[in-house]
Amino acid sequence: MGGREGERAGPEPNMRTRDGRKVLTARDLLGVPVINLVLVIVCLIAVWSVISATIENPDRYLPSPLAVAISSIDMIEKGVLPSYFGDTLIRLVIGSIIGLAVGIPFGLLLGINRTVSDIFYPIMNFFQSVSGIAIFPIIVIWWGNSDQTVLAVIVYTSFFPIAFSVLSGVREVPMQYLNAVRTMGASRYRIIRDVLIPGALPHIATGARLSIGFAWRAVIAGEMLAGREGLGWMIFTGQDADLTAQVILGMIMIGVTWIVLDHYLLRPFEADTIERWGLIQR
Amino acid sequence: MSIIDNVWISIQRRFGRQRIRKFALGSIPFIVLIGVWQANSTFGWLPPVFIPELGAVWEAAFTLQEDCPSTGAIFAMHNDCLLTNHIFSSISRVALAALIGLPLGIFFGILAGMNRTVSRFLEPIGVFANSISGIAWIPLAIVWFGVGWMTTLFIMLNTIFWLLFFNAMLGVRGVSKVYEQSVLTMGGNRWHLIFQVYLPGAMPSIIAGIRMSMGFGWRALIAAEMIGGTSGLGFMIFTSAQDFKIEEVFLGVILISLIWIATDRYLLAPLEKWTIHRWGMVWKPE
Amino acid sequence: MMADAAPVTSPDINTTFRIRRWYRRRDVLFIIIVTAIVAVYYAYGYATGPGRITADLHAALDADPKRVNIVITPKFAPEQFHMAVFQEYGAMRGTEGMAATLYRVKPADVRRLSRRYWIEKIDLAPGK
Repeated sequence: MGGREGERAGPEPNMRTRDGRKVLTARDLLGVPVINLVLVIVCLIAVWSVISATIENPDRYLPSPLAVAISSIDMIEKGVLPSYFGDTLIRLVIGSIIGLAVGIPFGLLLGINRTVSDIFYPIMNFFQSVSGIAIFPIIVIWWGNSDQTVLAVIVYTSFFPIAFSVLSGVREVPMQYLNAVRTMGASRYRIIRDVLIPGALPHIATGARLSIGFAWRAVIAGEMLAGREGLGWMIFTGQDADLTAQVILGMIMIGVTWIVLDHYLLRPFEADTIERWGLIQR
Repeated sequence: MSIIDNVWISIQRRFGRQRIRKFALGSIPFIVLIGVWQANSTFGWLPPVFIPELGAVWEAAFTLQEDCPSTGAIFAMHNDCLLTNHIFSSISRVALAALIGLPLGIFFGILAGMNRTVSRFLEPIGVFANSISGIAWIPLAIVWFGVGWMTTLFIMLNTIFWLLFFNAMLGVRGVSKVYEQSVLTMGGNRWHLIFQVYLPGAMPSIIAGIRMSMGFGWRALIAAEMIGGTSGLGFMIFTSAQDFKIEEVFLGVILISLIWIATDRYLLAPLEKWTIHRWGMVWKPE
Repeated sequence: MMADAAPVTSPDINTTFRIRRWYRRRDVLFIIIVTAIVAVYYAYGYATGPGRITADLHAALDADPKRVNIVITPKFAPEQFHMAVFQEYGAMRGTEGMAATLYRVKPADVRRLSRRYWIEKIDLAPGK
C-alpha cells in the first residue's frame, strides 16, 4: 500500500571531478543544489512570517518563525526536546528491529514454499488492511496506555511491508540461478543461503525502507494516542496547552527527522544494496 | 460416474482447479482463527474483556442500532442509529475528501510539473510536506478547526493532496521532452500539451498515486477521528476502547478493514486495470 | 563518492572499476556519524557529571549509603517535565525557588541525574 514515490534512488549522475578524481560537493550531500534549497527555505519563512503577522491571533493560530525558534531554544535549554526526541527514536529503532527480525524470516518462508504462501497470503492481506491505527484500541484494552502498547503497534505496522517485499523478492529470483545451483547438487540450505537471500536483497532493502516509514508514522500516532512521552506526545500536549509554537516545532522536527532518515540512511541503503546485489535492472 | 463426481468436475471447469486450491488453502487460517476465537470463548482461556465472544460482536452491531426508529431514519442519519451513523460519516468524509482532493492534487501537480524551474522549487516543499505524515497534522488542525468533522476532513484532504501533488509532479517531469517538443513542432498549444502529452504521460504515476493516497488517507482519517473527531468509525472504536466495550471495538476494526478491502479490490484495483494496464502504460504480470 | 582514484587502489589488484569498501557506503557512514554524535553527547555528560556534585555530596556518596537526600538545582525553575524526571528517582519533598529537594535517592541515580546537562548542581540535603 505504501509504494515508492516514483523517485529514482541513487547518486547524482554528474559528480564533480577535479583532475579526474571525484570530489564530494554540497550538491552530493543534499541531492539538490544548495542555493535551491536555501532559496526555498528563505521564501517559505518569508511567506510564513507575512501570514503570521497579518492574522489576528498569531500566538494561537500560526506563531511566527521567530516564536517557534525561541520555543525550540527554550526547550533545548531545558533538556525537554532532546529527551523527547531520543525517546521517540529509541522506540522507532527497537520497534523497527523487531518488526524486521520477524518479517524477514516470515517472508522468506512464504517465498520458498508456494503452499505456505497460498495459505497465509490472504490473511496477511486482511491484517494489513487493519492498519496499526485501527488495531491500537484493541491493544490498549489488552495492555493499557504503556510503552508496550506503542511498541506492539509499531511492530504490527512495520511487519507487513517487509514480509510482502521479501516474499516478492524471493519469488523474483530467476529460475536459472536456482536450477544452476540445484544442478551442482546444492542442499536446500545452500540454495537459501547462496541464491535466494542474496537475490532477494534488493527487495529486502526496499521493504526495509517502506517498513521503517510505516513504523515512523506509527510511533508518532502511538505516542499521541497512548500518551507516552515523545515527539508525538509533544505536539499533542502542545495543542492541549495552547502552545501552538510547540506544535509547529514538533511538526517541523518530525518532517526533518524523516527526511534525514530517508535520504541519508534508507535510500542510500537501498541504492547501495541494489548496486552491490541487484540482479535485475530497475 | 456419480453425481458428486459430476458436480465436482463442473465446479472445477467453472472456477479453475488452481483457483479452488488457492481459495481453499487461503481460507484455512481464517477458519483456524475463528475456531480458536470460538474455543477461547467456550473454554475461557482469556477473560472476555480481552477477547469478546463471537456472538457478542455480531450482536453489538444490532445493539448499537436498537434505538434506530426505522430504515428511513438510517439514511436520514438519525441520532440514535449509532453504527450506521458512524459508517456513513466516515465514508462520506472519504468521498468528499476524494472528490475535492484528487482533482486539486492532480491539477496542481501537473501545473507544478510543467515548468521545470517551478518544479525544482516545489519539489523540496512536496518532499517536506509528504514527510510530515498526515497524523502529525492533527494537533494543528485541531487548533485551527476545533474538534469535529472539519478536522478529519482536512487531515484526509491534506494527505491525499500532497501525495497526489508529488506523484503528479514527478509523473509530468518524467515525461520525455521529445513528446513535448514534437507536439509543439506540429503546432500544438498549451492545452494540447496538457491533454495529449502531460496527462497521459503522467497517468501511471497519477493512478498509482490515487491508490496509495486513498490508502494513506483512509488510515489518517481513522486516526484523525480517534484523536479529534466526534463521529465516525475511528471515533467509535476509540471511545468504545475507553469504555472497555471490546465487542464494539472488534466490530469497528472488522468494519474498517472490510471497507478498505472492498474499496481497494472493487474500486481502486479495477481503476488501475482499466486505465493504465489496459492502455499498456505499465505491464504487470498477473 | 569520496575522493577516490578511478582505477586501482592497491598494486596487487588490477581493476578499472572502483573497489567498494563496506565502510564507504553512505548508509554505513551515516550510522557511524550518528553513533559518534550520540557518543559525544554521552561522553560530555560523563565528563561534566562529577563536576555538578558538590564536595559534601561526594563525601556522602563515598561512604556508599543505601539512600541519600539531595537538593537539585537546575539552571532554571523546574517545570512539570523536570519534576516528573525527579519523581522517577526519588520522593520529591519540596521546591524553593530553583532548588528541588529529593529524598531517598540511590547513589547510582544521583550520578545518573548529575550527567544531565540542564542541571546546575546537586547538593546534599541539610539535616538527615
